[in-house]
Amino acid sequence: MRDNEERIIGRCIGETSPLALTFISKKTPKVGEYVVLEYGGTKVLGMIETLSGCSTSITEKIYNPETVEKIREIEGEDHYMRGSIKILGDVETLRIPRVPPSPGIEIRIADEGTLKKVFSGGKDELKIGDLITQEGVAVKLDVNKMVTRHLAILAMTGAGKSNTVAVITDGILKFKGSVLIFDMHSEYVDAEFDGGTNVIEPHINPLYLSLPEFAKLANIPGDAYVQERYFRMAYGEIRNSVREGNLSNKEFFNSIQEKLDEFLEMEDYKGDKKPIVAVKNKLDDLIERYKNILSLNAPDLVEEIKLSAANVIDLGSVDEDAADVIVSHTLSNLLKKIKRGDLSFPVFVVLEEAHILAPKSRLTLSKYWIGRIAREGRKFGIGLCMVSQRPKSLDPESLSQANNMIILRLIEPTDQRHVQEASESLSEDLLKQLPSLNIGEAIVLGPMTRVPALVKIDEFKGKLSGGDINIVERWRRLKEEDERELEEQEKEISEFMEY
Amino acid sequence: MRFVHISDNHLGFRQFGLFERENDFYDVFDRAVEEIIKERPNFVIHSGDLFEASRPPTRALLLVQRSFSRLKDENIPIYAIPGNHDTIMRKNTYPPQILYEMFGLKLISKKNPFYVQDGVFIGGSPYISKYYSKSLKERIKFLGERSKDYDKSILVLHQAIDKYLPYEFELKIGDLPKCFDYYALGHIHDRIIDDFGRGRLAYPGSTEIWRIDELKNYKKKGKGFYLVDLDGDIPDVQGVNLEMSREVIEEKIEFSEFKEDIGRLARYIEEMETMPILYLTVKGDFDRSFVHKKLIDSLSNISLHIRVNYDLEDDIEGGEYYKEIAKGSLNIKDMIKMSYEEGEEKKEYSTFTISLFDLLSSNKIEDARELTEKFYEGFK
Repeated sequence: MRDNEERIIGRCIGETSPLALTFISKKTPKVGEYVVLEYGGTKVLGMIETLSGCSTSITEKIYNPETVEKIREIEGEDHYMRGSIKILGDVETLRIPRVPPSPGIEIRIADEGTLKKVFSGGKDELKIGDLITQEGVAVKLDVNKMVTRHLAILAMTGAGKSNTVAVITDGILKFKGSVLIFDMHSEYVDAEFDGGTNVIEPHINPLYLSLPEFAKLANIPGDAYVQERYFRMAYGEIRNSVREGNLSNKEFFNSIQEKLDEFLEMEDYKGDKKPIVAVKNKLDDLIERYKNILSLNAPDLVEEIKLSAANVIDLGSVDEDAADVIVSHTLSNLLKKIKRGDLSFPVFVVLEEAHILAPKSRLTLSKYWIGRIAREGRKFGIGLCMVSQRPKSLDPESLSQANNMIILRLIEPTDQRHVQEASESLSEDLLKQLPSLNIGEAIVLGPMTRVPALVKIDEFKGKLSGGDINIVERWRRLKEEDERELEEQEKEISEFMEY
Repeated sequence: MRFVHISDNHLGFRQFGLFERENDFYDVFDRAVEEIIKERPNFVIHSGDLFEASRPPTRALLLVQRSFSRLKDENIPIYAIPGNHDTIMRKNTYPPQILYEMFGLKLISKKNPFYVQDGVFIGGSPYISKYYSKSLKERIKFLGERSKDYDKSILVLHQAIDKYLPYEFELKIGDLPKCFDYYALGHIHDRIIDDFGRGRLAYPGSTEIWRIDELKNYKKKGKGFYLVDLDGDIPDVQGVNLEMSREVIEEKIEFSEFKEDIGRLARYIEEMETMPILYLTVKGDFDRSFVHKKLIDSLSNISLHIRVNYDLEDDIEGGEYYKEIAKGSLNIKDMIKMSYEEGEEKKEYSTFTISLFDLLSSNKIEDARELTEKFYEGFK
């Protein structure tokens, strides 16, 4: 039997509907496998959603294993498969026929040719992997739809999120596209992408920051309005004088402090000594904490974004608050510049750890801009890719804007429910598949693929630094390195310390 | 059981290129040896930087030879390590201290990491740079283990420790084992005595003012060596002060009171037997050359050396350039013109400079060479 011949695996039984049917089989098909049925004059594609093994003679009423043994001796292999199939539509247009299949018709395994046609992504397609059930059938995504309708990549840790991001980035670079990755754990900094990796240092120029951004950086909470008032007055005045060129750059922070000192002296503000001193302390902290990322000569991050490159903003070395400021600052500028036409090309923005940047129950600076880009981005050519291992803590507003989803292994029930609520096309049955996925296997949903697919994601060829580390190996290696280093030092020292 | 702990003499250092200053360093060392002999200690520990360089002038070598042979005659052994100044970490090199082994010096080295005198463990390591800090720490750990068999123990090192020198250190305070009674350190030029481990940790400091920033500590704590008594539970550390050969004066003068201050300073100096070294900072809004001349006229005859620092309030040198930059119009050619402003013959220079700038900017190297040759022909 040739591979691409359509094997009959069973027949349809019982009541059928235009959307689903039950079937029995003597063979052993797999869940997620694609089947074709012919009725109503067309060839219709379906997917096996559930399967159970049954036997007529070995029923649940038997309580003695020996009886089972005896029945098996007499009856032989008396079992069959019973399962349900979801109708996906006819193989050409994927339209669902208006008539149900008639009971008794043949169920065949879909051949490669049919599947390849179904899983192509159209003219501009990006290969993400192969079908789990039918190896050799590539699943290709429609890049336009992926970028404009946003994407969420959800999985528990270690299930292959970073690899998926890398494969997609690599695919986009083949189209000379532009990807901007907020790299929370410095995973992509050394990745070798086709078009080149453009690592952007996470420097912020305070002159480009908005006041709330600056206040957040200085840890002045929104409800400390007196502190904010004084900060606003001092900062505003000093910022203006930098712009007029009256102030050298390094004096910037000192000048704010001096301005605050002036306030402290003033009769008018006599009652507010405490908040003014609080602001002063916070500014000192700010400089101490963020001296590595603040620079008055830093370029605008958005202007560093290149076309045809993976632009990686390395946030591995900054804390969450600073990352929040950098992300919100970059996103707001990106949206502004693209709207104004200052940036001429569309950008696909990857947000790692999206649940930290846009959490469900907290307000962050980034959350607002992520929400806005999720809503407005597609009109201007900014695509969002939210990556998270904790969908339940991710802002549902933003998540529901992501029409495309790649869901890898996800065990936690609350996480699963949260994902299901956000997605229209994730059925209860597919949801049940999530815990049983292996590493690198995913459910791919949304407008970017014509039918939902269970995919084995390709392995990214370049190296990534995010994978699980071999702890024992690392300990051993470090110990060895340590000893070797000491030995080398000893040797060199004995050479020049002969006395 | 008493011993002397001394360090950082920097013999052979000729500050400001002055013989007088080289002599100052010798003289104070001479006085130190005199004092040591008077104190009659059981031994001397030297924590490095005896010499300024690994190949000291013969005078310095000779001075040390005479001093150490006197100590030998008095039966006072010396335990010493080389410091960062008197070693080079290179193959086939020896520190100068090795010359004095026949004059009673016991070199603490890789081969002989420790000695025992009268039941006291004296261990240490020559200076080791930060690059080899792993090895250094290993060495110290080893010494800590070995010292445990002895009642009293001393660790001798020439290293900076983060607690005392936070930016350029080789060891962190936690790297030192706590089992020694006395940590005889060298390298830091200020005098430091601290409690550590079972006893005390001390830097005796330099014996002469090697750099101006040592002045503050000197005024507070003096300079010299330490006399350590090991007999108690905790070592008793006594500072023995040495007289400096000449005074080092650091003064800040406001230009508004320039005349009065200079007069007062001159009168003060005239009282001295030896000429001092002056570090002056003049602050205010004034003409530099005027102030410089005044200073030289009134003070140079009565002091050995004057260093002046001008803290001009407004007009920093080249201020015009920066003002231009601040305007946001950085025109290199204008700036070149500005720098040649005065004088007619200067115009020729600026024309040349600008043409050269243009040629080199457009990578016309040959043309530039030709132009330059032509220009310099005019000076033949």
